Amino acid sequence: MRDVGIQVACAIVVVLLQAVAAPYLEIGYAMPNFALALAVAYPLACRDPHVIIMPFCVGLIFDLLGSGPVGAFAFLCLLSSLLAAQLAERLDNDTIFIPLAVLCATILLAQILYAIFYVACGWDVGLGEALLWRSLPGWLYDTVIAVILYLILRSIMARQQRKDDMAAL
Amino acid sequence: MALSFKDANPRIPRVIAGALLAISVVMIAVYGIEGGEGPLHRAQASIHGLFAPLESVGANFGAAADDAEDAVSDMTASEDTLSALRDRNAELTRLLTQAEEYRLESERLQGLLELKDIYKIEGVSARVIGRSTDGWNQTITLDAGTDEGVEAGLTVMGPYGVIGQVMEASSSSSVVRLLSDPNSGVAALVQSSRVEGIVRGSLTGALYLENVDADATVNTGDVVLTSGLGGSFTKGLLIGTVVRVEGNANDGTRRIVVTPNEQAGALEEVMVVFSAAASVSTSSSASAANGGQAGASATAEEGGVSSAASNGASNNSAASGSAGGEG
Repeated sequence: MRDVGIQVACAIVVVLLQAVAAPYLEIGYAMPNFALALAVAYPLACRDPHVIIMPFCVGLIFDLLGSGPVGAFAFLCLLSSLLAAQLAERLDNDTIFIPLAVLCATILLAQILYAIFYVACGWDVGLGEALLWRSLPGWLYDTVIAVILYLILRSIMARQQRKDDMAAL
Repeated sequence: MALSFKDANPRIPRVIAGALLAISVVMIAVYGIEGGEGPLHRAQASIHGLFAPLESVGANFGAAADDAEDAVSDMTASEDTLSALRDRNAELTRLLTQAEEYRLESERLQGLLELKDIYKIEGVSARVIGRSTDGWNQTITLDAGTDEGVEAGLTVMGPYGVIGQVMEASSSSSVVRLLSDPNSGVAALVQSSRVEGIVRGSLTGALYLENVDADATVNTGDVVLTSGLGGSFTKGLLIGTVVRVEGNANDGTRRIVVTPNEQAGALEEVMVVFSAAASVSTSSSASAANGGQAGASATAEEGGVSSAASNGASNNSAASGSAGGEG
């Protein structure tokens, strides 16, 4: 039940950040995508490979807030979340390097896939242009956000775990 | 429905994930097929309307961050240093800043009024209360909607000319797709030579004049107006001026770069155009609307000399040299 509470709280914060703050945090051609960052960071931080509803919902809300094809980021957030969880589960060796590498890889994949969706949906740009001017800067920005979110969530989870251990004793 | 499936049968999360992925793909397909009035587009418009007040909060985000920074620095100062003189100084600074803000706003509104007079525009002015929440689209949100008569398809002007088109409107807000968005396109003509083309946005924010006849002459400094073809934009409104002509018209590599009238971040007040009088055909009026840039272009045209020559002979030689233009 507590996990659900944390997920809902995270989702609300992320949606508010995306609607209110993200447009003013643009750096060059990159705007942060808090939804994608959370979708990838959460399953890694809480080590739960079955986080499904939350990534889909934040992705869908991101789609509805923007002007792109509805469903694209819902698909990508869910796919990235599942992929990140699976990769982390198979590769995890209790170092921080693996989660960070997984974050980088899954966010890059999501950005590349979105560029493909974008071009396939009839937007009048070339794939190379979309990758260069949007996916690449977006990947760098989102990875930084995801790493920060991951560290915050991990510390919250660790604190909760310590509390649970104390209570069990 | 639970948000986590830690203790569930391992097949359940897989089935749900598969179903949600399939739903997403269906939504993408439906969104691509349905028109602007389709259910997903309408849902998107409703969410934009719902979040518009929140976005206006975000408009003050930058200022709030600055204020917070000031507050932190004030708090860290010792009590002794906070003399009456400093209080007075802070108050005066605040008033001066406020006065400067009013002056700048007055200038911008004056610009809009002048533009309204020049083009005899009937329309409604609106404040920009939000910007695109994703990096892939160039849109702004206005505080005027269908209650004020705004509807999808209307042309939107900034202080110096056309900036975009209303994409969707709710009762109290509307979303405008800027010209710099790669998905926007406006039928345009070069004022001096009457050469027609389409101005398109790009991912880099630059505007390109495309679909121009290979034998047409377009020079740096030429004024570009809306042509009204297709009926989506009001005719005769200023889009910008040609700043660069790249490549060669003969081998199809010519790219004509047009200055955008405004950057999204700089827009604060705009005007939604319901109708405008007959197109402005003299350089002087465009010059008045566009400040010095259009004036420079008029000079270049009248003199019959391409100002491209002074802007780098190599990439503009084709444009300057191509004879037999419509002008």
